[in-house]
This record gives sequence, structure tokens and C-alpha cells, in this order.
Amino acid sequence: MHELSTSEAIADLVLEEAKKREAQRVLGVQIEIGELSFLNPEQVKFWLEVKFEDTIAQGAKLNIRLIKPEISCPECGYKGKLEMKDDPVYHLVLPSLSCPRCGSSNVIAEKGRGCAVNRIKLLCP
Amino acid sequence: MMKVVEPGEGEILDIELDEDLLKRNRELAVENRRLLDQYKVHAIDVMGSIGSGKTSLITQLVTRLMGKHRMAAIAGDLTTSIDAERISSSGASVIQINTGRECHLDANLVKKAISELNLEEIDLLLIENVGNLICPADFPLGSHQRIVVVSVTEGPYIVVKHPFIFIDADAVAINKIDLAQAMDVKIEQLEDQLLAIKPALKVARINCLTGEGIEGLIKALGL
Repeated sequence: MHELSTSEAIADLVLEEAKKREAQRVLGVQIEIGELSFLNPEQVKFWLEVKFEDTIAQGAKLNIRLIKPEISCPECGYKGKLEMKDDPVYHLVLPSLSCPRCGSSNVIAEKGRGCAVNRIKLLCP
Repeated sequence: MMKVVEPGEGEILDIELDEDLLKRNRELAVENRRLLDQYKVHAIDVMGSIGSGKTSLITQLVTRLMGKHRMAAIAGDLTTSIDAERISSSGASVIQINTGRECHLDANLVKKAISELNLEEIDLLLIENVGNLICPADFPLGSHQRIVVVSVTEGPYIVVKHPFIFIDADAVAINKIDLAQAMDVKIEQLEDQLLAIKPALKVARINCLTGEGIEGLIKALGL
């Protein structure tokens, strides 16, 4: 729902980095989006292409990777993926914030919440 | 539209950035929390859909906790001050944040609002987020507790359709329980779904119009 402002932030970051390095063109941008964030990759891509129009990043290859959620359990030390429960009534997959090993409900969502610009490919003179 | 870029004579640089875009908000949230802790102010972020009863819950809490706590509220809304006026008439001092077009509060806006408050004069801060079950989840504000208000008038699928908002929540208030039958909503089912997502959630049934269940919620929140 805030794909536009996120895309603006990504575009600013990329173009600033490119300027700093006196790049001629931005050839590629790799972005990571956590599956627990509320960003739709398709929309981020769309807005980013719009933001990059008429800049040195126009036509840059956009690669968006989705990051699976991971949790950690302070009780038993479990670190791993977040269990997703299938709800047969609604045909929905619900996340379940409890430890799959010890059952503790005191777990922390570690991965899969963020949105990061991973790497960029620049053409420099 | 994709344009083919000719590499030409230049050098191709592959740069690792690992720049997290939500990090700045999280850092500001930590700053907010530190400031609140310094003044021993407990802050609660109240989230929920449009019309779920966030403002009504805050006015209920203010009315009931008046003698016990010194309170202030921050009310987030797009452009109006209706909520702020409602809360202020219940007796707490209110700072209005108008987000303009943003669909959520963020740590920076809350930081600005906090700077308008005299933190020495309060010990409980209620922050009303913008009515939205989606975006506020990505933006921690620095509060100590997060409550989600859901109401039975949002229908039987409100929890399963928006599971991620509950991941960071400490408590959920199911509001308008007097209308459950008319809405054909089974409250137990909502409760089961909430606890399946996050077993640590405190779930309370409330009716903000009559005040039913509010005392129980206050107890569950430890206020």
C-alpha cells in the first residue's frame, strides 16, 4: 500500500549512489522484499520503472527477490522458518507465531519484514 | 518498456549496498522508545480498520484511567481533527497528526508529536494510528504495546484476511460485540483464528458504546 513512497526511496537511494560514483548508467538493481512486509513486488517494480524514466537508470534491469519469513525462539533457541498453517475452511494460509520445536508463543520474527536494496550494477566511465 | 543499454567503453561496477529502507523508521522508533523510557511514559499504539472503534476505545480508556494515570493522546488522521476533538473532550491532552495522504503513522511523525508534549506531565500515551489494517504493521513507532481493534461489523473474515497486522500486536480488542448476531459473526471463531496466528495475544471482547469489557481489557494490558 505504500509501494509508491517505497519506490521513491529506492529510486533516490540508487540515483544518489550512482551520482556519487559518477556512473553513466544504472544497469541493474537487486531488491529484496520480505514476505511479511506489505509490499507488492509487482507494484514496486511498476513505480520504480516510472521513477527511473528520464534518468540514467531508465531501462535498468530490476530484480526483486522475495525473502521467506524466519523466526527465532528465545526459549529453546530455535531459528528457522515461520510455520504457515493451512486453514481448510477458508483455503487460506495463516502465519503461526509459535515455535515449531518447543511450542513457545514467545517468538521473534527475524527475517522477512524488510525491504532492502541489495546491490546495484553501474556503468562507470 | 525495456531499453537495451550498450556497455560501451566504461567499466561495469557491481556494488553491494544492503540498504534497508525500513531501517530508518526502526531506528527512529528506538529513539522514540528511549525518550519515552527516560520520562517513564508508557506508550500504546492503537491500530485498526476505519470505523473499528479506535477513537471510541481511546476515549473509554481515558475516561476510566483518568484518576490513575496522567494521559495524553496522539491522533493520526489524514486531514481532519474530528478524532482529536473527541478524545480531547474526554479529558486528555491531544496532539493531532495529519498525515495528508499517508496511510499510516511512522516513527518520524510520532517523534515530532512527542516533541510537542510535556513528557514530565504524563505517564501514559495513547497513539491512534491511521485507520488501516495493512500499512501500520510495517512501521513500528516506538510504543511499548500495540493493540488492534477489530469490530464484528467488519465481517467474519477480517482476521484471516489480515493476519500480518497481528504479528506485532500484544492485544486485540473485538469491538461491537452486541452486533455479532446481527452480523452473523461468531466471536469464538475470531478468537480462535487470532490465537492460531499468535498464541501470546491477549484477546478481549468489548463494546465501546456501553463500556462492556473495557475494564477487562485494561487489566489484560496491565494499565
